[in-house]
Amino acid sequence: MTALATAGTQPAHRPSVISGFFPIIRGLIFAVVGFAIGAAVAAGIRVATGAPAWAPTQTSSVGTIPSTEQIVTVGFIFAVPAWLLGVGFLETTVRQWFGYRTRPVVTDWRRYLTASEDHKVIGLQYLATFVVVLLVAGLGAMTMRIQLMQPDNQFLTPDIYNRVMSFHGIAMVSVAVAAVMGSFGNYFVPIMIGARDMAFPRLNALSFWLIPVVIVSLFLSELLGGWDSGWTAYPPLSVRNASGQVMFNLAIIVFGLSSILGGINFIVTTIKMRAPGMTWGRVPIFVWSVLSAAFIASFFTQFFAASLTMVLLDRLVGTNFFIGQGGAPLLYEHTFWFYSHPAVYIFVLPGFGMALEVLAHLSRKPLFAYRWAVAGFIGIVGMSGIVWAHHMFVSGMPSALLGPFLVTTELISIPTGLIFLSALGTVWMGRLWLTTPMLFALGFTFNFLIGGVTGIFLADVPTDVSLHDTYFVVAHFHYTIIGGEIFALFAAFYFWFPKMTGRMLSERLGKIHFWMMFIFFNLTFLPMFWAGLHGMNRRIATYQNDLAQVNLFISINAFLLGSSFIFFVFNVLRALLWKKAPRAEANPWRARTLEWLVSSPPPVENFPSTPIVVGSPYGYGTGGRPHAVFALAGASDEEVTA
Amino acid sequence: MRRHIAIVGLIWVVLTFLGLIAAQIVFQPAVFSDKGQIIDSTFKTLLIMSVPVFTFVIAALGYSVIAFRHRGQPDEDGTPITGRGPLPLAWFVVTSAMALGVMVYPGLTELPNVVHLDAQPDVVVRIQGQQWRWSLSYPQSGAKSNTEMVLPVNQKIGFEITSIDVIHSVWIPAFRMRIDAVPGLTTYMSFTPTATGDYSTDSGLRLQCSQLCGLNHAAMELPVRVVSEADYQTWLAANGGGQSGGGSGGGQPVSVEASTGAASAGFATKTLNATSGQPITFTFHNNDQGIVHNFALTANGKTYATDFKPGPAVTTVDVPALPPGTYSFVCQAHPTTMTGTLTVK
Repeated sequence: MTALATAGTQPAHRPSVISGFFPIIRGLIFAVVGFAIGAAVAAGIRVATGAPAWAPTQTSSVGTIPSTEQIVTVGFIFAVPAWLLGVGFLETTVRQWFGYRTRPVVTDWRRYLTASEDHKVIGLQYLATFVVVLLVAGLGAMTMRIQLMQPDNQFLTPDIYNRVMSFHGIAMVSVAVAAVMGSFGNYFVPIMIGARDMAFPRLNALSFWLIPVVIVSLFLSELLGGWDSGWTAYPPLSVRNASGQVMFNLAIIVFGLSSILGGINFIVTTIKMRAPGMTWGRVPIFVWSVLSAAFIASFFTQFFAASLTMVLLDRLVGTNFFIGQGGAPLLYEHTFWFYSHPAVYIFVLPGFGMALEVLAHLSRKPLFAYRWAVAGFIGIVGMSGIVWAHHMFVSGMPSALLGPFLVTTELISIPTGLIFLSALGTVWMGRLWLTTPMLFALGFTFNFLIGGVTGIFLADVPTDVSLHDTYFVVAHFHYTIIGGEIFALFAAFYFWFPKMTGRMLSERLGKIHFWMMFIFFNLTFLPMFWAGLHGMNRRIATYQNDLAQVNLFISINAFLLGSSFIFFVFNVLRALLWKKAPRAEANPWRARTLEWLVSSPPPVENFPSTPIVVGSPYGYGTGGRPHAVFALAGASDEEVTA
Repeated sequence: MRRHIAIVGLIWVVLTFLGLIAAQIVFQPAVFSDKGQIIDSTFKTLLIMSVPVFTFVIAALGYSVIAFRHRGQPDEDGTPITGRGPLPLAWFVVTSAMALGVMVYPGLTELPNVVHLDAQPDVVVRIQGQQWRWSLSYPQSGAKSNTEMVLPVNQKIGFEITSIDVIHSVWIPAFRMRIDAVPGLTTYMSFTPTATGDYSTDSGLRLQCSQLCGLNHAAMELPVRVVSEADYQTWLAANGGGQSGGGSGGGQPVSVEASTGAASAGFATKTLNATSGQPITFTFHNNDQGIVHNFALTANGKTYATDFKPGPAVTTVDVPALPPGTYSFVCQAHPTTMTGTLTVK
């Protein structure tokens, strides 16, 4: 409420656009200064130990260690806290602690460019950031498809192709990890459980403001030669390649930190901050899915960070975790996949949750077998940590491990099947309102079915020996991640956009976007299964001549898939910038969950008074109690049904 | 409700029937190995098993979208089926049974048939990966090749695979077989080629790296040729076969050395001498700590090379008797900086 009180003291004139960017500019200046200090410290340590302050290369027992990498690493370690300080993270707290005058809290549009601790602001910051990353990484995919239009194409050099491919990979993985949880999770989990904010608002701000570090570092790595080891960064390649690899490792370690902090925040928020009456049986399915993903993020992410740290040490100080005498490249593969397989459930579980949420509200049906769907989520979390080595069936690990991992991988299809039961049962006998979000949720179900069925061929060792690292795999995981998670992301985007902005998106443009995306997504990725079976391996800049036609077909459809986003971007800009864009009422979908019981967008701290949850979020057609009521402040005996 | 279920059931049966017909299409190109045949039939088994699952979801989902769609905003709620009771339990039991079924057959039953290794293969082929090419050696005959892989048809081949720098992966699409080449580790794979053929007629007959290994990963491939036993023996003889494997063939000894910094400074011994008319055994002493070098001599249109090994290491290569003349040699890892000449008198 303090934010509202200070609003009256704002100057009457419109703030200039530049003033809005002040925290970010200050953050960048601080980061540069921090980097310079760190670089000087590194150079100083080198001089103190008798080495030249900077030398292009330095020979050691493992080959050469460029001193640039040591200097960049220490500079980076100093630049990150400097950036956070500059952008205003903890600024008020620090000023109060030392007794300095604090600045008034900004309440207009400029708050989206500050280290705000409001979960709705942070949610929109995540959303805007990752929509941009999604589009940029998508342009990377378009670039790759231009190269692959014909064999032996000279459009990109092999080096540039490998770097674009690696960037596309990690940028899309970051979208998959954080776009859904960071944006919709942050915005809607607190509202849907009846809380006023996340449990740790400052931690939440920290989680977000580490993200620009990650993205900027990935771009800056190109100045150091980029990295060509894909998003998997297997050593020894990632110990021997260009110095850009160091920036990749540092960036992704920071990204992991952000992910772990976010995960802890969601766990505590969901367990401790639910409104009165919000029993576990009344928690919306989306919240369950985010909670499940949060457990995975906070349990497993450190394994990836540890693996990347070991790679860094091999490069920077000549340890031999993965190279040289006693180096164990398979160790990396195990620790890497010990995170990175569970990570795919961080991608898709919130996708499942969002799709089920939209299917229930827009079918006007109770979510079918709700408790079994929750059991499915918990089952997936429980089993996510014991399937990782199915990525390593042909890695040379002991063949005694093949059978056990085949078994666990087939077992995890059982809880996943419960999600399909819930989806199919929910639309059955419903009143399907085929709006854009509903189309995306239905498209999700179709695409994920193909992704799931083709996964069986890769879980089975005999077929995986043949299909591993081919375009069959590329097609499979794009079906689960784009066809699954990203379709669910757009279902959520079209569903919740009116709530977040108070504006309505155009249904006509939304439907054009859906149909183009759905059709050309399938025409792009379905032929990739065929290409994989016919000997097209993944991560290659060129291929055999007899694969020319199918690749041309894939490329053309990929461009059309890419162009569908023009309608999306136009639709969003039209709704936000056009003064006559239709305004959203509080509950345009006539849905039951808590976020629809408050204004669009919701007020600061979300609710006029504490909501009291009295019924199921999905009680459609029962004529029973609403999901929640508000106790009016100062009139506690009077209740307003929403 | 009954009518809806009956229609979905009917659609399911029809789609499954059509799907099973479609599954008869042969999706794979020609297969050239015994294990490849097992893999292809496993693929087909899984395809057939997945058809009814796929069509069930499509029938239920597709029918719901068409039959239960509502023009504009619905004015009433759907039938409040909550999905408690026996149905989810039945679904759970049925899907669990299906998962267990597919796990056992074809999963666990076919697994040993594909990954088992022949204890005594007819032919042993050693494959060594490096950025960005393959080197092969046939230890039983001493033959070496880095331009093509030749295998005899209908003989059990045992592969011993390693890498000297980063992780690569040996993949021959026409055989359907694959295993990674990992530095510091030897991996194994075995199968029997079942038909003759070569890369010029079937692009699946190629040894392709399928693990991202840096700059020229896409181009890291070698043609594969499956030939008759007689042709195979001819090829072995033409590629240094027929000698006892592994060097020290008893020719006149010539010693070559590379010391620290050889990558820029070149061989420590840049000029070598030998006598004509006698076989030569070159012993290459790589004393360059941690750096990979080899010794490769070009003579009579052929290249005789030692294995790539990081120093310190000693490797040998046998070269048949040479006519008088000068011959050039290089380190194939540093062909521009590490060169030298051999004078045969």
